[in-house]
Amino acid sequence: MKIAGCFSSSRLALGIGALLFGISAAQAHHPIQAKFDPAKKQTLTGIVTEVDWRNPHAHVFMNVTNGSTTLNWAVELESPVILKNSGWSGTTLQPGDTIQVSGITARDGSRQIWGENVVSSANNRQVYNVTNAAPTHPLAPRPTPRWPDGHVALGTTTGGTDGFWAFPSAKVLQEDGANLKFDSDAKLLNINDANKVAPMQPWALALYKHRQERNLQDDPMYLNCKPPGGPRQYQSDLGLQLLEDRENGRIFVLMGSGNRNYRIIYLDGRTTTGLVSGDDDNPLYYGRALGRWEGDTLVVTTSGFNEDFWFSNGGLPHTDLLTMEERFTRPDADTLQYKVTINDPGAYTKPWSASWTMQWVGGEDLPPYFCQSNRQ
Amino acid sequence: MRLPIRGMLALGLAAGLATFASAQEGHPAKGSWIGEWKGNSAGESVLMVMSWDGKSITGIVNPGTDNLKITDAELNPTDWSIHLKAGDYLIDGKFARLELPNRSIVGTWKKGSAGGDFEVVRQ
Repeated sequence: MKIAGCFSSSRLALGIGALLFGISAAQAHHPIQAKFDPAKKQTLTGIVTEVDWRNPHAHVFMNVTNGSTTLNWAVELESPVILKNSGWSGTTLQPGDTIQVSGITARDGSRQIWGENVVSSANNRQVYNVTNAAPTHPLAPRPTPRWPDGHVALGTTTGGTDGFWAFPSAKVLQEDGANLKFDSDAKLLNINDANKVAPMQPWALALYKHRQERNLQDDPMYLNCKPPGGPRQYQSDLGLQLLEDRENGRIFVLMGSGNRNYRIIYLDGRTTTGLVSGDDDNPLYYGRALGRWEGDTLVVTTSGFNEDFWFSNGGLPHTDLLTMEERFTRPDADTLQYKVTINDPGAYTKPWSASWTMQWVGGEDLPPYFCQSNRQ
Repeated sequence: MRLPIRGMLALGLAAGLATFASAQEGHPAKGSWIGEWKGNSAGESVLMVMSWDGKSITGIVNPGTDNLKITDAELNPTDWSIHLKAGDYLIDGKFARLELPNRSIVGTWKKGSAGGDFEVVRQ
């Protein structure tokens, strides 16, 4: 069949397929291993046909010719936020460029590859390799910023340079001292270590293993854009901002991940009862947080969580019985120490703690990042 | 095979509601469950409401008569099987589609010499 004398049916089908393929690929937001199989490594050489520069993942489409057959592949890359940190821009590649892509291909057999490395065939120059490097620390620690009254500032002080906290030293929630190995998606390298991650009740351990064995593909943060409540908000690549509203006794935690939602920590001495008139029993994604200062450490107690989200990148379960105590300390200008104690008698056999640090990214505002639901 | 109209309506209702199941990433048993209760003279639909207090599963089962308090509940997470006792009913089932908000429990129920299969879907 010919249409308007221009396109053969096979070309039309290829075009429609590529279009649909592109749409489905562009909507996908997921842990990498949920969609791509690390065991299916492949290297492809082809010609760039399109660059789709958007969140949550950028895509490069390329025609790969094998003999007399040309097929269009989607090369999926990190988010533009992370790509920019690696020196990549939306115009780094142009349609018509010949590239060689190394990566891992889709579990479902579709023509999609997660690009781990992209080399320009014209000059053999590597044009893409995600490093997402943290800012270099100064040789000598800079002193902790303080407010005029001498109190430590967790964010930017009045008149200070913009900045936010990112590059967590740990992206996986596990009990201090466990030191287990995970991949970049928070998947355990050895599933038999699951019982060492945290002191889980039997049902919680079984559910955690189930989530891990399904490659974290059911994560509602990716599937439904659920907020990264609990300690998860401090283990995101995209960082967060702490804005202190000292006059009104509250700290806003602005998320770089999710949909730029926020959490409020109240320091005005209120109790959790009556925080929001009439809906004390309405559990929330970020719970209800009350803070107090112990010297230079901000101590925050949060309860009132709902059960509609995963509170860790690796899929550790929690229940609405969760109470979280967090301790924030800024020992120098560029370091935020974070320690969380999880007390959830619904899912764990005893309270347990985890701690990590985050780095200050000065001179910048939070990068724009919006989630797109996979269930549309 | 012909399905009774009431049975079809119940199935349709359950399927419709299941589409809108609210997220529940905590204890898998927690929530409201509606479904089929085959072989019951009082009607072939059932409602279960289960909760989790950190130590035990509590709640009610209503097989078309009255709310019956769950007096015994055991979940075996090794194979995700569950045993419930509510009134004179003994219920044994197994979770399916565990990862989904509209997961289900499929199994059998017994009351004296009566009994049958059941399937409930989380709402």
